[in-house]
Amino acid sequence: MEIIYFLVPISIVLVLIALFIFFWAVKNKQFEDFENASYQIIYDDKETRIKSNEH
Amino acid sequence: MIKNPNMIPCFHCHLKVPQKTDFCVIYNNIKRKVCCAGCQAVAEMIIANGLSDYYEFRDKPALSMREMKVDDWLELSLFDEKDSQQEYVTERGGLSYASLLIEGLTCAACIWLLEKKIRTMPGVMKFSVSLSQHIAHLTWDNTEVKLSTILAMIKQLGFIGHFYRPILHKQSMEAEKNRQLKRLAVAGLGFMQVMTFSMALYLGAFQGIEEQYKIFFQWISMIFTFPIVIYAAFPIFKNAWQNVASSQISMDLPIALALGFATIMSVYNTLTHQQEVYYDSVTMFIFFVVLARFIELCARQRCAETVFQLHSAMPLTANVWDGQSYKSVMVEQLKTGDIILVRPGETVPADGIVKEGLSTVDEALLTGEVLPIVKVVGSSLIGGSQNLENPLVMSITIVGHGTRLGKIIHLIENAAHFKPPIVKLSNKIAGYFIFCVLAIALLSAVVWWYVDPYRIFSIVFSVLVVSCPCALSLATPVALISATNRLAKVGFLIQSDHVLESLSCLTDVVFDKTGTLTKGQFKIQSLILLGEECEKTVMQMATVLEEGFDHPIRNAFLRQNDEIDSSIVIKDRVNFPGQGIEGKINGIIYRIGQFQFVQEICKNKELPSHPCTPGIWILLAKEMHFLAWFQLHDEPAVNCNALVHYFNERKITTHLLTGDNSEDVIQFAKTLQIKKIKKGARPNDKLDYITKLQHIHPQTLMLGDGINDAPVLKSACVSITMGNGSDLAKIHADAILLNDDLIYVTTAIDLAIKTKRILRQNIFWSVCYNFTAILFAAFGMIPPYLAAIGMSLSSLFVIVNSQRCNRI
Repeated sequence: MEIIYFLVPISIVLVLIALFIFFWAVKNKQFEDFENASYQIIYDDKETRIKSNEH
Repeated sequence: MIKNPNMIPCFHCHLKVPQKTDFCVIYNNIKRKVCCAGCQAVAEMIIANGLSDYYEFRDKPALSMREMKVDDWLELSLFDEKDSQQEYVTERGGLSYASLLIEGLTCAACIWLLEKKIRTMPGVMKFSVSLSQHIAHLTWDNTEVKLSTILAMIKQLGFIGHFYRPILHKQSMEAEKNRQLKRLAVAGLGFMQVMTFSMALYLGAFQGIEEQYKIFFQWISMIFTFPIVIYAAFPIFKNAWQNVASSQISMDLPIALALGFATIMSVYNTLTHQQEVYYDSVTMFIFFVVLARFIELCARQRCAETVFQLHSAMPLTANVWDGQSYKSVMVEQLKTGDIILVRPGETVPADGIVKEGLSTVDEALLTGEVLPIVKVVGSSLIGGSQNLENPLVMSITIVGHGTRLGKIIHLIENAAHFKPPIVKLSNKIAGYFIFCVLAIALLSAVVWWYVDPYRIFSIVFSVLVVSCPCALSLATPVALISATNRLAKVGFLIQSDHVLESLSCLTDVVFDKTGTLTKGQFKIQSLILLGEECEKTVMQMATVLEEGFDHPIRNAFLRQNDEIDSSIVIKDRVNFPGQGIEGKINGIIYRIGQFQFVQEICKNKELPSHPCTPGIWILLAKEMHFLAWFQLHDEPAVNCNALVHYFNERKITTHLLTGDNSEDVIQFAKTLQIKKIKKGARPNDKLDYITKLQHIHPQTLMLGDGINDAPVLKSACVSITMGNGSDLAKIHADAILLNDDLIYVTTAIDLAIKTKRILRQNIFWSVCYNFTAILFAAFGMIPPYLAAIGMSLSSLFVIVNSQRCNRI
């Protein structure tokens, strides 16, 4: 069971990476607007479909 | 099949297409009419760029291009100036960054339109727009493209971009939210890790675990808990400390005590190799508390943002004399003593004194005076008023926040930070409650010391943690803020503390008539000729007489005749306020206005009668000859029937209190079924009426549009004014209805009643929960982790329940 001494620190490192990425996202204003993101997905979809219609 | 061509809405902005115009665009192979060259240009640009999907996606009409002034285009070059850029643009690594406030965004499709197009411009690195805040973040290469070009493109698409001015310390609000988010992340990630390790310890407690692994897991949990307690829970400890320092009690005190002792005990136990550690309870508790606080912060900030969006009405630029010519500068850069040119149609940018020029100025926004004021050399000017006739040169005395308009904006901003009486009351009760909890905790400690000292710690922790005054301290503000914010979104802006409470228990409502129950826009309903002149001439004469004074009656005439016959020359035009206008045409005196006033130039002649139909009758005459009666009609406001019906249904007594003295008033009130009528009331009479009413029925609502209504609005229990009303009214009123649709008054009242109901629910739940939970905890029946879960769930429940106030 000594493997635990190795695995747990790895999980710590993973958590730190996750935290670091989250902090970067906050700094990069990813969390500023909760409403627009949901619309962006829908619109982009339609556009590619229309483009293919034109060809 | 004769369709009235006037009814066609513009394809782009949905305003009426004027009769003689022929602007159109081709969309989906069909010709569509638009209302003006501006809309045509924007629509063509959108379609030509392959962005016609915009018209399919959008759910609101676009900003109309008719209001765009030509001068706006010239001002764009300002944005490239070094000085303005210095304040608003940052340079990093060769790229420029700026935040812009975008006007004209009506729905998500607009954002799509804007982002799609701007991102394809060469030189633009990043461009993203936030729908809720109307802020765009722009990154561009200044050597490839100028900011003014980008802004011109934004204009061409039909929007206006300004430099982002953080009036509301928006940036600090944003920073606060980000800080709280980071804390939430640390608490969340850490809590999950600690729970995982606790599982090992729990299983070990049941099945047996080797000593070295137990120590290992305890240490790991401790290491994870430290950053959470120190970083994520820092505000809790800080608040608790401030409580102690200022001898106050708030929710943070017992929480901080519980957390502090639990952590210290756990660390001690870890170091001395004992069994009980509480890292899981501590971290879970911190996570839920930080989550609850974050939700509350979002609710608060959303409210402040909505208020901010509704009130950005100051002019952006001004024309400053620099010694040789007038240059356009940003309003922020004005200083006391600057010489400014204000052209006709422009807004005065700051408070000051006229140095040159003679003109009339519209100060209705700030003083409630409907008629324009004549300004001569030496007259004072108010920032925010509009210059009408001639250019004025002024020198500035006060800038920015010191100006009257600045103070009004400041007032409105502060409305977002109000502390309603019910919140103050809840805080007080919460204080007593927490004091009791601390007392019970102490009592339990003493009792259990004698019964089973080993269990003291976990029982005291449970008692402190399980108690939840959240219904009082957190949920009440959240409920009120959500309701306020929801109403602000439909244009009902609350400015005073007690509005929602007062609206939920009204007994009487008093209406002003003109401008409140009616639109305040007169139309000429009919014309009766009394002399030899024909209808057209008479109309022209009346219009020419009325012209030059921005008055609702004059607007009625102008609406009827688009062109003014320039062959009629008028001299010595004099305005007699409240009575009428006199002028000389070809040497003969003409008068138009109230019949008593006009009759003075036709002495000894019998006054011709007019039909008894309702409306305002004004008389036009020249010396010794009566010419015509005009009947003016003021349309009732949108939904005024529904509004009065709403109050009558609920047995709330309706009153009509108006300065209008015509017989029209009685008929008007009868049609709407208003119960009590007082007409011909001068401002003093109005004040008397309301004061007397308030004595008998203290829960009175007053609706007025402010001209002469300001002191009356102040004395009523709760008052609402219209968006079109004077700004004096807006300062004194408790709430402003910005969209002129009276149905939203009923919406506000319904929401106020709903909020009251929800607050009662929260308090009821809180009382039941706390009573049972604290009792059980004191008797040792609730282990720490269960206490943490209980408190968290209870607080989340009341907060989520409060969020229901977000829905009408």
